Amino acid sequence: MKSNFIKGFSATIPVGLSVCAYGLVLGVLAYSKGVTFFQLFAMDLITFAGSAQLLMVELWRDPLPFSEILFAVFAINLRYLLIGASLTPLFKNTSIFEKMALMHLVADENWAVTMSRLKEEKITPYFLFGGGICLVIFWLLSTLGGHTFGFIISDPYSVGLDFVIIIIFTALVANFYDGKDSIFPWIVAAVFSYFSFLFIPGKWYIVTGGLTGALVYSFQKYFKEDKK
Amino acid sequence: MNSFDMLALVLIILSGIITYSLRFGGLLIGNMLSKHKFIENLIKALPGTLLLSFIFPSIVTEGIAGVISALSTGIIAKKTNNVLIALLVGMFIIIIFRNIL
Repeated sequence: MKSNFIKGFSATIPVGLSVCAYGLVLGVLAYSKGVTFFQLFAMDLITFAGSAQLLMVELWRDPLPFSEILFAVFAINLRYLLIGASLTPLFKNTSIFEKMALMHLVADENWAVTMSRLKEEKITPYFLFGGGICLVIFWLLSTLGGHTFGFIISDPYSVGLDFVIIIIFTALVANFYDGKDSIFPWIVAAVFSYFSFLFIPGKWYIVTGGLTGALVYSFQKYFKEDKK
Repeated sequence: MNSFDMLALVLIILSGIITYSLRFGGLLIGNMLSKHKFIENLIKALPGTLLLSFIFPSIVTEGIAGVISALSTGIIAKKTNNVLIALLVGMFIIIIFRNIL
């Protein structure tokens, strides 16, 4: 149990470093929008979702657009419903309290690291949780650091750090490639995500692409077994 | 604490509740549905398709550099099982394209 925590923590460090780039951007932006240090700190711990926080900060003004922000948070984080569902095998044989406690720190990054490791060896949800603790530390340091030194850094994007996370996820996605069975579902996912990306604002492309691709996989399996 | 700060804190807490409900709700739904073969396959396929949907638009937007970098990263990761080497090669290609070509 303990070793799973440590394994998860250390396996998430490389991704955590790249998350710092986002954190810095968020911190700088928050500073410029007048979000206080404490408010950013609270967001980091209570919401703990990078893209949702980025959006909250972007919409931040006086008076606060309450429903606008809440709906945006809901829409942007809807993918967590699918991410949560995909974690079912990992949480098999755990109590409801463990589930409740360990799910809070689930983010795209430690989820991806965990799922790809789960394909190779048997791990427990504490691997995922260790990754979450790792991320939250990097997240606090980078966002609050960006907020504090927000006046110095003008453009963290220019260094090309924005692409690191994409490259990391690309390396991880290769692990999920299952040969022939994956080809058609993946093509469908790619096409749907790209068109949603072009035409639907927000992060809907992750949900539409992920869901349609997985549905195609399920139907493919369903009809194959029917023939036998 | 003035009323703006008060409202801000309420808003942050509500955002947290929404996000947590989605995380935890997904796990609960998955638990209830995983007894069906069709849903089980769906859950099995989701990590790959979700990740792919996450990266694909950004790769295409980056253009030819993104495609070359992503393909090399993916192939190296699959063949060598070494994420770090794959990552370094992918980043190297992006940096070369952005700064020199």
